[in-house]
Amino acid sequence: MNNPYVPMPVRISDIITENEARDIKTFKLIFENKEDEKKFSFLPGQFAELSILGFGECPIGIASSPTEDGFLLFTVKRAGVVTTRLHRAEIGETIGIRGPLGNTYPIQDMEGHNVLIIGGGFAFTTLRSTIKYILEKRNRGSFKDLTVIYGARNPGELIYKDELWQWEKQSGMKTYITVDKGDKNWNPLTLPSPRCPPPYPPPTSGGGQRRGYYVGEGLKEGGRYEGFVPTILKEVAPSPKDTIALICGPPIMIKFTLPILTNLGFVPESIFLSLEMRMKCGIGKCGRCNIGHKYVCKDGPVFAYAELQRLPNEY
Amino acid sequence: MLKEKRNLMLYKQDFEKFFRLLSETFTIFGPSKTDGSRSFTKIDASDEIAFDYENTKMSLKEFFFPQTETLFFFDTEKNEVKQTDVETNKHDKQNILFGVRPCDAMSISFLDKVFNANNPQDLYYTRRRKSTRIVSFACTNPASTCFCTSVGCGPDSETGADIIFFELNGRYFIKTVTPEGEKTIKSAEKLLNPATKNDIEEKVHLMKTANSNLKKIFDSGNLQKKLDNFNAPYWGKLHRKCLGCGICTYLCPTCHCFDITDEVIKSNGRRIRTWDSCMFSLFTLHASGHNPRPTQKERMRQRIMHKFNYAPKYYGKTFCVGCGRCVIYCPVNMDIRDVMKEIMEER
Ligand SMILES: Cc1cc2nc3c(=O)[nH]c(=O)nc-3n(C[C@H](O)[C@H](O)[C@H](O)COP(=O)(O)OP(=O)(O)OC[C@H]3O[C@@H](n4cnc5c(N)ncnc54)[C@H](O)[C@@H]3O)c2cc1C
Ligand code: SF4
Ligand code: SF4
Ligand code: FES
Repeated sequence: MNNPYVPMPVRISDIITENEARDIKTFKLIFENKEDEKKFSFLPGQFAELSILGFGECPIGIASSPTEDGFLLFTVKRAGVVTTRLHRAEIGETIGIRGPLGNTYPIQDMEGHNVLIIGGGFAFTTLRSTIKYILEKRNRGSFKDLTVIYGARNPGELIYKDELWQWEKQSGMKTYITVDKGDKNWNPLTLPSPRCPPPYPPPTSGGGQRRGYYVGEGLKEGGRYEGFVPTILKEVAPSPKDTIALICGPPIMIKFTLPILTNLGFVPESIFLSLEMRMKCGIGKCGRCNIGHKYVCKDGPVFAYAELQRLPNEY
Repeated sequence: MLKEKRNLMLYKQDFEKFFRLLSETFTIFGPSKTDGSRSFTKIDASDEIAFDYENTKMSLKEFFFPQTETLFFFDTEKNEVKQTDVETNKHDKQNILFGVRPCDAMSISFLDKVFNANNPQDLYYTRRRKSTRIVSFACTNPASTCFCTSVGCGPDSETGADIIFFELNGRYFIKTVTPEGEKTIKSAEKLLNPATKNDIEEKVHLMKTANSNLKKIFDSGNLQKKLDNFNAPYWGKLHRKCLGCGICTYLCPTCHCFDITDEVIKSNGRRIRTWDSCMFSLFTLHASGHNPRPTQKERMRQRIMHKFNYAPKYYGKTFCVGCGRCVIYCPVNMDIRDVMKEIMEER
């Protein structure tokens, strides 16, 4: 019989430092036992408990897509006891994993619709999983337009940089990347992209916030920006018609993003958020992670905004 | 469920024999005189049982969900998980919890929804639950702090019990509630006689008196609706004297929150789970420093809401059985009945 508290062994096969502050790392994990790998069937949005014997466990979103075979990715920010120990781990080390846990982004409901993905900071992890999943050849036809808006404090804090630069150029999706504050590297000349015309500052009158450069003609084709995610969203959001929006990011970003989506005409039923609460068991028993009568670990972490509006504002 | 519950009689002078017959197949636990009925302890002879206790200080939950429990052992040098406690501990003998108060028996039926349901199943809890029969004792003399009838329980509630005993004059009236209950008394069948009409009448009368001693102070059904107002003004004051000590939740038979931590000495470690409490400030603290329940106000609200609003929505049950433990043992006399009254009176 399966004991839901006992972790399965996984080997760290690669570690990538994601940001300049060097406190966000991506771990590539490979199951030690093939049977465990087979049992670990998941969809974008789910998470797992990573375990280090003697230190404990912490819940981390699955950053890889189920379409990426043979490994799992987790992007972890150094925060407390377990995450700090994880950051000291070396390639080849064996750690533990419990999962997959929680619900998923509404993949089935998203099929046949446009998808708008809004991410902030290092919480971009399960959204990366979703993007990879949608971009996979055999899945791409099931979804309409894909728009990604992703922001971080500064260019050095953007995660999955190589992929971001790739997505910028990829046809069949629009990628808008923004930073709160650019630096001299946030410059098209040093991050060249064949489709980039020379940078020009957009008019600073009026809104004034926008700087940076745009790919191609005007705003609609994706590009790099300076400004907060909600501000950029307002400028570039696709039509709410036939579109499902997924949001994951820091609370402050979520707080300012929701009213903008609403003003744009997105209904609460078409907006999905991934939430975070302190967790232990991950299976709805330890009573720690509830928002009202829902357990984030089991009934979430993904909630429709419509559902969230019916729950107490305590998260 | 049992097709037909049987009503049986046992003379008090036969109880000793009855006890011995049952202890051939079962290990029996009960409120014992030696331990001042602090908790359910192993009983070796029938005269050790404290029949006159009101309720044990510790609730029955610790029998199935102990305060500290090893989930598994590990070796940090070899970096491997050793066998889990569940797999190594063989429980051959079956247990009887004897003399359980109906409120505690009902509380176990709630914990079953949390731990025993297949979502996924908690093997530690389930293992003990499967090997244990619950024999309750109807309350004929409820304490002043009891309010079971306000929350859908009662002094003769059968929920959660396999068998229930009623103490009549010179004899016990025994009702079998579940098929397991029937099996439990099989070996002592020869001591038992079917209850007569007179016996039944005596029992009904007895419970009528017990019930009349319990005032219904509020209606937990109404309460759920009232509590839908998350931002009601009373939350601003109810918590004021609360110290956040967590005693109310530790002693509560339905509170089931726990923490999971690692303990290591040299290279020998174990992952344990321990009772935790929503009344503690660290309970919901994120590593980032953010705390969705920053003050005792939010924590008090969580405790009350979980029992009377969230659990009814999630599990279909009010997670309070009116045992009164939180009323008796709170160091600052927080009386949950007063809290309820305050909430019911608010318009
Ligand atoms: C569904 C979900 C997905 C997450 N995904 C990611 C991710 O992809 N990348 C990432 O870096 N972080 C993620 N987090 C946050 C991450 O879980 C915490 O940063 C982490 O638990 C901190 O653990 P610690 O031991 O280092 O901190 P400590 O402060 O030492 O925490 C002790 C324990 O408390 C619990 N805990 C503390 N903070 C949190 C928290 N914010 N959320 C949940 N449990 C907490 C954990 O069990 C942790 O082991 C996610 C959280 C949730 C709930
Ligand atoms: S026992 Fe009393 S003081 Fe302690 S946490 Fe409960 S209500 Fe507060
Ligand atoms: S809340 Fe108080 S009265 Fe109700 S079951 Fe828990 S300890 Fe007993
Ligand atoms: S983490 Fe234990 S109930 Fe959600």
